[in-house]
Amino acid sequence: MSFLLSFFKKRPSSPVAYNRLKILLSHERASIENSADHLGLSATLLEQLQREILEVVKRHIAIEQDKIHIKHKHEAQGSILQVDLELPIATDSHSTTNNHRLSE
Amino acid sequence: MSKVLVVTSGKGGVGKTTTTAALGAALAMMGQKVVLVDFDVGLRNLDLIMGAERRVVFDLIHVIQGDANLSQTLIKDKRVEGLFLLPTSQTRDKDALTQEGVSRVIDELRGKFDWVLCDSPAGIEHGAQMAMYHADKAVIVVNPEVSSIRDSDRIIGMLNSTTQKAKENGEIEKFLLITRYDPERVGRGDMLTTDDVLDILSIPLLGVVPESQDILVSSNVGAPVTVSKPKSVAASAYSEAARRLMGEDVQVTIPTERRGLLEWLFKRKAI
Ligand SMILES: Nc1ncnc2c1ncn2[C@@H]1O[C@H](COP(=O)(O)OP(=O)(O)O)[C@@H](O)[C@H]1O
Ligand SMILES: [Mg+2]
Repeated sequence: MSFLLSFFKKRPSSPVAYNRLKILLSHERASIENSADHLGLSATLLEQLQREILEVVKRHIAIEQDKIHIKHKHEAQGSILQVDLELPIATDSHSTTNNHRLSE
Repeated sequence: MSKVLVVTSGKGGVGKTTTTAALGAALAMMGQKVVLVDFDVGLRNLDLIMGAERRVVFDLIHVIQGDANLSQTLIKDKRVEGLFLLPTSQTRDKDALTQEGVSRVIDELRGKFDWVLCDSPAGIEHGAQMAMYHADKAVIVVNPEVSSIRDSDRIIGMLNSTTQKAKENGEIEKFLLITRYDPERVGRGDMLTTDDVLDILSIPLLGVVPESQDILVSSNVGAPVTVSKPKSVAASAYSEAARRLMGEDVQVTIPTERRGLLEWLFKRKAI
């Protein structure tokens, strides 16, 4: 009986919308465009900054393209531009990349 | 003290212009001196919704360019005491809205009115930024629907960052107005609830306006819903919102399904 009921009853779609929005917005709030808005800079400038910082770091350390993140933080004293670099670290058991953050 | 309030959303067609007219009229009916400023350059519509389309002589761009002064340009509403409209132009030259010119006009309006309501164009470009730049308060109009919510989130980010208040390290007071809310669809689980929307966007709720025939009828005759149908559910949602803007502590009414007895019997049979 309950099987029949659930067969005919349409699944509500709003929980799907809710979950999709939650995931999407948590990504978008950390995005380059959003950071650019918050810093009053253009997204192109931030992207260029990200690229150039990466180039400088690459001269000294092997690091991949997607291991650099630029974020903004809003604090009482003002906005902070934070550059996160994920540096590869060789561990003896398995070669995962450890999260060494160089801030500022 | 005079307050500048922007009605904004990111997405188009969610109810900004409808809201500007209805809220502005409600504030004026409470004895406030109110001006509605149309920032949707090129696609002016607030004049039509206010029923003032045949009274437009000069517009915002004329004032900005120094071709007319405010007293020549402001249109006084014939129904509500203390309610005025500053129409925009139909020019396609969006650059006519200069930062310096807008600042000057807003400053002058602050000296004349209790409330300056800015009806923002859709999008996140120049026009929308000009509409929000001088705001002290913002009403974010949102429909309980994924793309509208996503765009609102982006607009909230911009209100927090690219406005004058943000540059002075202050904060714009933000309120959420949910419109085109359909209690029946919410009941079926096919529309996000008020709580869902609040949880996602996390700014204080100003009101919930249901999807309503009365809005369409009001725009047909060129009157804010709070003027033409003051007893309707949509109008009371807007009046409530206006009281909350005035600092009154009123509980937000969430629209519910209103079924007649016949409809109720019919629905039961149909199951
Ligand atoms: N609560 C509502 N119920 C029904 N229709 C609505 C409601 N609010 C707005 N509308 C309609 O939606 C359309 C877009 O509204 P409008 O205020 O012009 O949006 P925007 O200014 O955000 O583009 C109009 O046709 C308007 O009549
Ligand atoms: Mg509009």
